[in-house]
This record gives sequence, C-alpha cells and structure tokens, in this order.
Amino acid sequence: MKRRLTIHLLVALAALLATTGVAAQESIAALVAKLGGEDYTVRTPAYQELRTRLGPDLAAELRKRLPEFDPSAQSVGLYLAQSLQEPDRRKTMQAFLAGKPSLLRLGAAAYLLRMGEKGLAKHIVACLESPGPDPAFSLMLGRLLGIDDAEVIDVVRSKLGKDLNVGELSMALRILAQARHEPASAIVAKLLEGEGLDDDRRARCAAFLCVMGDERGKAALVAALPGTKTWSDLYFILDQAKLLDREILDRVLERAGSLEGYELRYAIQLLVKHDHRPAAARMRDWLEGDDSEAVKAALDGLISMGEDIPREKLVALLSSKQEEVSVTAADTLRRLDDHSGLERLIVVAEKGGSAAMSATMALGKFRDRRAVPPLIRLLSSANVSVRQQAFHGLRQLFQALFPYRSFDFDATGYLAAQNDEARRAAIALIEAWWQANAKTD
Amino acid sequence: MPAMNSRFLLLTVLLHASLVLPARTSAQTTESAGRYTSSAAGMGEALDAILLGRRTEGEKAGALFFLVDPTTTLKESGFAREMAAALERAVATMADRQIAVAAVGAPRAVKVFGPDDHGALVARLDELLASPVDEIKNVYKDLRAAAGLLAETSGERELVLVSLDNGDAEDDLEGTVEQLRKLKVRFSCVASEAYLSDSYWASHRNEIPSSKWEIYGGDGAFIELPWGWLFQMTVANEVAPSGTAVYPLSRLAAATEGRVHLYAPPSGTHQCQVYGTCLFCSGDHMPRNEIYWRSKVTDFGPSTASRDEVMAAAAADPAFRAMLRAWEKAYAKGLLRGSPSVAISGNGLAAQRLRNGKDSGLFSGGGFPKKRRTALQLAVDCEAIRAELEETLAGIDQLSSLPRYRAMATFTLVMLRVTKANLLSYAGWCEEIAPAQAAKSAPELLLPEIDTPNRGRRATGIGFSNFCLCHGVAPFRKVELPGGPAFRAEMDLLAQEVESFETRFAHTPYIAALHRSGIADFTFTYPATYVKPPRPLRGSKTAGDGTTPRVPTGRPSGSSGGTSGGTTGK
Repeated sequence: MKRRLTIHLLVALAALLATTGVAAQESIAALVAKLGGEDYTVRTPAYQELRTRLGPDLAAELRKRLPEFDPSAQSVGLYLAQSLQEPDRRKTMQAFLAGKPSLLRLGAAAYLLRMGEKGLAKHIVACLESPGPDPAFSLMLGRLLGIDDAEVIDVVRSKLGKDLNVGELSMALRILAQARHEPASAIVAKLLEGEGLDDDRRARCAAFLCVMGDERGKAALVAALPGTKTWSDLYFILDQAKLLDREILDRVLERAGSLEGYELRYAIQLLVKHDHRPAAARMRDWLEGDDSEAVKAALDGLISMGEDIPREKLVALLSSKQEEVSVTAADTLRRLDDHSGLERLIVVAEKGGSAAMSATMALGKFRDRRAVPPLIRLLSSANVSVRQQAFHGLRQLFQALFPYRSFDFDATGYLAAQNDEARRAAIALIEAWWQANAKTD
Repeated sequence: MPAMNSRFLLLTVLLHASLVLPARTSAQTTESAGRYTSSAAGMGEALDAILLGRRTEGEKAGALFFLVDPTTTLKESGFAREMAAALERAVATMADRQIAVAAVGAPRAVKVFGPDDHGALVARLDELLASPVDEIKNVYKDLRAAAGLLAETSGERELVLVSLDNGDAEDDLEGTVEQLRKLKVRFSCVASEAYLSDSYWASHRNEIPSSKWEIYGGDGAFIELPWGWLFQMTVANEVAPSGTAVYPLSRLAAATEGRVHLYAPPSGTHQCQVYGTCLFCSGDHMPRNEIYWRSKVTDFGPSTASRDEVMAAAAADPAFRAMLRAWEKAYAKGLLRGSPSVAISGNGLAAQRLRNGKDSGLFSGGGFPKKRRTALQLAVDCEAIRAELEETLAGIDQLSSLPRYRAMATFTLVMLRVTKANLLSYAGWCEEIAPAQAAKSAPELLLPEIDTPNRGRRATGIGFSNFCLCHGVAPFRKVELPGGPAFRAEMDLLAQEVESFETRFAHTPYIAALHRSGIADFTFTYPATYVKPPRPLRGSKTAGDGTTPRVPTGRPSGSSGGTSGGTTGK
C-alpha cells in the first residue's frame, strides 16, 4: 500500500515536472553554445529558449561567447543582446563596441546610435572598411537600415560597385533609398550603364533610380524585371517609391505569377499600394489557391481596392483545411465587422498546431467578450508565442471592454516566458477579475 | 384695410413664389456635381482623360491651356513625369494640337508648345514645380485671364486647371462662369476631393488672406449641414470626403460642359477616427460601405447651379427647412457650436456669419449633481428637437425634397440621437464615475485593475474623447459605459437608427461622416506638469528647437485626401 502510494506520488511529480519543464531545463551556457552552431534547426529552438531567460547570466555569456561565433550566429546573438534588460543591455553593447571591428561592434554602434548616442559613426565606418568573412558585410548593412547619419550614408554610398553581390547591393540601395540620398543616383546610373551586372542587380539599381524619381530607371527596370531570380529585397527598395509607372506595375504583376508565399504577398502589397487595378482579376485567382500568404494578401488587396468579395466566399474559406487560410478568413471577416469566424479561431488556437499563434493573435483583435475565456485559457498554452499573443490580446481586450477602468497587466506578475507555477498565480488573478466583472450584456 | 393687407400679403406671397419656384425647379434639374466628376486612379489616368478625351465632332482642334498651381502636393504627385508619359500615350490625338502652359499667379507668362516640343513642355513643368508656392491662391482671376488668352485662338478651346490645393478661394465665381461661357472655353480640372459641406473656414475666417476673397470650402454652394455637435472631438463633415471637388470647380466644369478629375495620392488607408485609437479594432478595419459609388455620390451630391439658385432651392426644400429649424434650435440650446450659415428670409435664404456658441455649462463650474441635472435637461431638450424633426420629415413627400437634403436631414436626426445618448452618458458619469475618481481614498481593486493614476490630483475641468461609430452601435452593447438603463435604452434606439441609416446611405459621404462621429468618453483634465527642460547637449543640432511641431503649410482642412481614402468611382 505504502509502495503504491510512493509510485503514485512519483508519477504525479514526474507529470508536474514535465508540465513545468523544470526537469528539462538546459544551462544558459549550453544554449548559447548551440546558438553558435551552424544547424539552424538546433539554433532556432536555442534562441527561442534564451528569449525566455533574458537576464544577467545570459548577458555575461553573450559577452563571453559571441565574439567567437561566425557572423550569422553573431547576428542572432545581437537580437538577444538588444532584448536584455538595462543595465545588462548597455553593458553588453559597450563590451561589443570595445572589441575588434566586426559585426558585433557595428551592431552595438548602430543600436546605440539609434538610442541617440553621438560619435558612433566612426565605429561603423571602421567595421564597413574591414567587414570580415561573408556574409558579414551584408549583415552589417542590414543593421544600418533606418540610420540617416551623413557619415554612415556616405560610406555606404562609397561601397557601391559591381563587385557587390545581389544581397549586399540590395541592402546598400535600400539604405540609400530610405535616406533619399541624391548623390547615389549618378553612381547607380553609371553602374547600370556599364556591363557586368546580371538582371537581379540591374533590377535593383533601376528600382533605386525609380524611387529617386530618376527617369533612367524605368526602362531598365521594365527590361530587367522578368529575368530577376529573387524578389523580396527588390520589393523593399520599390516599396519606398511614392509613385511607380504603370508599365513597371504591369511587369510586377507578370512577375508575381511565378512567385509564391511571402514573396507573392510583397508583390500584391506593392500593386495594391499603387492601386494597380489590373491586379484585381489576378488576386481573385490567388484567392482560389492554397497559398495562405497569397490568400491573405489577395483578400486584403481586393478589399483595399474596393472590390467586392462575397461573404459566402469568406465563410467558405473559414473551413479550409489549411488552418492559416481559415485564420485569415476569420480575421478578414472581423475586419468587415463580421464575427462569425470567432469560434473557428478558438478551435485552431486551442488545438495548438502551427497556426495556433496566428489564430491567437487574430483572436486578440476581436473586441468581443466571447474571446476572453479562450484567451485566458491560452495563457497556459505550451507554446510561448501563443502565451505572449494571448496576454497581449487580453490586455487590449480588457481596456476596450472597460474603457473607464485602468489596468496594469504587468502587475499580475505574468510573464509568458516564466515557468508554469509563476504564471498560474497571475492567471488566477486575471481569471478572478473576469469572473467578478464579466456581465453577459 | 385688413382686406387690403391680406391682398397685399397674397400678392407678396405669389410674387415670391413666382421668383422662387422656377429657381428651385432649375436647381433641381441642374445636374449634380457627381455627374461631372471622375475619380482618377492616379495622375496618369487623369491626364489620359484630358489628353485622350472627347473632341466635339467637326470642331477644329484648338489649344489646350494648362494652368498649373505649383504646390508641393502637385510636385510630389510626380506631375511632370506623369505628363511626359501621358503625352507619349497621346501622341496621335495631340498631333495637331498646341499646348499652352502657365502657372497660377502668372497666367500671362504663358509658353506654347507644339506637338514636337513635348520635351520642352515637360522641362517647363519641372521648372515651375522646382520652387513650389504653398499659399492660398484665388485661381479664378487667373482663369479669367487665361480664358482671355485662349479666346485669341481658333478651334476648340479647353482650359485645364491643375491644382491640388486651391480652388476654394474665390473672388467672382459667376463672373468667371459668364466669361468662360461667353468665350466658349471648356473648363476642366485636376483637383483634390473636397469635404462634405466643409465648415472649417466658417470658424477660421481670420486665416483667409484677402478680404476680397471668400472661402466656403466644401463640396456645396454653402454650409448646408449642422456642424460642431456637443461632445464630438472631430467635426465629422470636415473630415468626410465628399466624392466631388470644391463647389466652385464643379460649378465651372458643369457650366462649361467640362470635367473634374479627382486626384488622391496613393496609399490612403482607412482610419476609423481622426484622434485617438479605435475601441473596436487595431487600425485594420475595412468598412466596405465607406467605399463611395459614383452613382450614389451623384444622387446625393451637391448641385452645380449658381449659388443663388442653390440657396433658393434649399429655401424651398421642406427637408432642408426642417433641418434648418432644428439646427437653429439645437444651436440655441448649446447642442451645437456651429450656428446656421443661412437663415430663412422671406421665401429665400440669407447668408449669416458664425455666431458665438452658447456655453452648455457642462464643462466648468458647479458640482456633479448640478452638471447631471443640466445634462438631463439638455437631453430632454435634445429629444424635443429630434422628435419634432422626425415628425416633420415623416410628413414630407419624398419627391418634394432633394436627395441631398433628405440625407442631411436624416444625418441630423441621427446626430441628435447620438448627442442625446452622450448627454445621458455624461449624466451617468457625473453620478457613477466622477465622484469616485475625485474622492481622496482609492477603492479596493482586484488586479489587473488598478486605481486611476490621477488620484489626489486636483482636476481643472472635464474633457472628453470619442469612441467612433465606424463599427456601428452594436459593439457598444458589450462595453461598460456610464449612464445606466436610460443610456442603454437610448443606445438601442440609436442602433436601430444607425442600421437604417447605413442601409439607406451606404457608399455615400454621409456614412463617412457618421463613422467619424462618436460616443463620448469623459475624463477629468489636469494642469500640465512642469518638466525641467533637458540640458542642451553639446553639439546637438536640435538643442533649443523644442518639441513644438512646425505649423504645416497649407490648410489643415485642405482637400488633399481624407481619412477614408479616395473614392473608387464604382
């Protein structure tokens, strides 16, 4: 009898440990080591786990280990460093800044420059002058987006040349286009006139000129667009254009025919932004496909253009086998003031599959009391992203439903990244408040 | 004597009737501005319509005169580049046509370009737009001058005004109409969308730069719609795009058989409300009934008759007269801050200047019980005005009233209901929320709810913001708002009225105006807290600049784009 009780207790303890995740917790050092590996299937879960352990220990480990890693791993590590709490974040950035020229030093300088600190351009210039092994240069440029410091822009412009690969050229042109840097136009036009550029790079140069309102860009872009292999970074340059010629938009529409996923979404977004009416018929075709990104973009696009989508069509999409498509349909119906997709979202979110996070996010946008109980339940989801979205959704929802009251959800102590036990107390508080104040009408 | 008086009175009535009725008929049969308006998908499409547009059969190709208003908005529209592309597309139709170009402000400094000079024409446009002049301009004087120049040419004469920022400041509109008609000049324009019965200039007359000019500003001949409702942060009609250009441009185009091409910059996305965030969405709402249909814009659009004719027609319109009576009464009670722009004068209308609004007494002085009583009394007054208007409108034969005025009167009816609901909510706030928030001690609360962050601070007054009606009234039923059963009952009635309104006036500007109105959210206001300015950083370029934003150039209510984006012309 005593032995059976012990077994029961052990089973219960094991179950408890399994649900809290305490038993399987890896050390921060081991996780950071995984971050430095080349296998992204190992690196990604390690990164996600580390996102839940932002603290002084992680800061110290990042300062110690990141300089040894390759540029791609350093780039991921920089995202973690930026997410640290103060004063760990500043201390870590300062340590990177004091290091040798590298992606880490540039990343820290760019971060602190954005935070308003002065005198950091020299670090960025030094790093760009000796970037180190590929793909460091491209990653460095990626860190400079949105920075309009004249010294930085000048050095980016000085790097323009036909020796840049398509990724590096795209990133450099994107930075210069964001800064509306006129002096770059002549250099880019010269590049375009010369030989040695493939269609992908020609298209990016031409797109830059179009953004700058330079007539030389149009014909070159029209000619190069059909032959481009990649699209998304070209989109990011073109997206900065206030106006695009109809002929260019016609080519974008043609090019979109061979795109899929997020690349197709970008193409649709560009066509919609410029109200390119011929795209509407194609969008109806994409609506019939099973590419959830395309379906979502086509739905948004058609409605933004004032095109009619029968409600029956959207309701039919709710029961699509592809959960992401049904989430998009439910979200679109909500945007049209139709809450009939709410129940479907609850099912998808609570089922916990790959669409659970987007379903929870969509659920959080419903200003509907029926969304509260499932969102409270989703605070206990096994998926940290779902938990984060549920918490965010509840915060928005409570304030909308009770606009004359003040809330501080952080005061409940809920942190999506915490272990179950700590979360459970916070959830109990939220649940209790809801029970006390929920009224049916 | 009394008999004589009666006969005299009868004669007077008959005389007025004979003067007014034909005018009214004339105004009713005159086409709506919507008929003369196209919504261009971009500047290129607008220019295509002009360059590739109709030519009167048998008429010799004459000159096309572009009077260009060089402003920043026009420059940013890529006008010169779009003109170059449009000229390429119109090579065949422009092969025998000369194009004259001049700028607003210097109409006589005209340059003429032949079919082989299109490159030079584009260069001229670039030159004009190199230094934009963003100030309020009266374009009508220049249009008369340009028409005079066009009269020296033979063949078909077309004058095209390209102005995305002006057209509302006018000196002599009817004189311009007369001259263009006399010289057989057809007027077209590329212009921005005006706002529905825009009342901005009525309350900002000191910003009109010349005493010789008048600015009405809206899509119609005068401000026809009651505006400035109590507890509304946004004057809804000042932000509801009308689907047409400002009245003077529509008038000129209609009078000369020309066209108005509306231009809206790309990427105009929907925003539920102008100030603050929407209670019911995350800024991604897509209200389909806000997409205007050209046919409906035409049905409910403003008349393009002369201003005198429009006013005469309004004076004879039973729905307008009923609305005007309600407007005057509501204004007298302090339910509106905008006084009527016109008054019945005999059988016609006389223009009136804006009067100072009456203080409702709800925002200052007195304790909460007094404020509550005042609000409840105002709600009773509001209901009386609303009920009278409702009864009058119910008795009006639909065919005896213009669709535009029926829509406006119905909108006023809904706004009276919204105002009444807000008054009941205010009364509820004074009783249920304000005393508790003003008390010294905080109530016991369960997390995540916390006490008001302003406990202990001395309030200086009462303020409000709005929860917009963009999502309708139904979602409010799920929201905890003050006012108790009286407020909830009023909201139920409002829900019915709004539902009916949304059905009747879907795809018209009146829906946009309703959606930009809202249910009030009351709060205490507090004195600003003094914060020591940061020590200027050495070498900082922004030190001493302060944080006060620069006053934007152009007019705040300028007609370049509204919150609901351009119309589709569907």
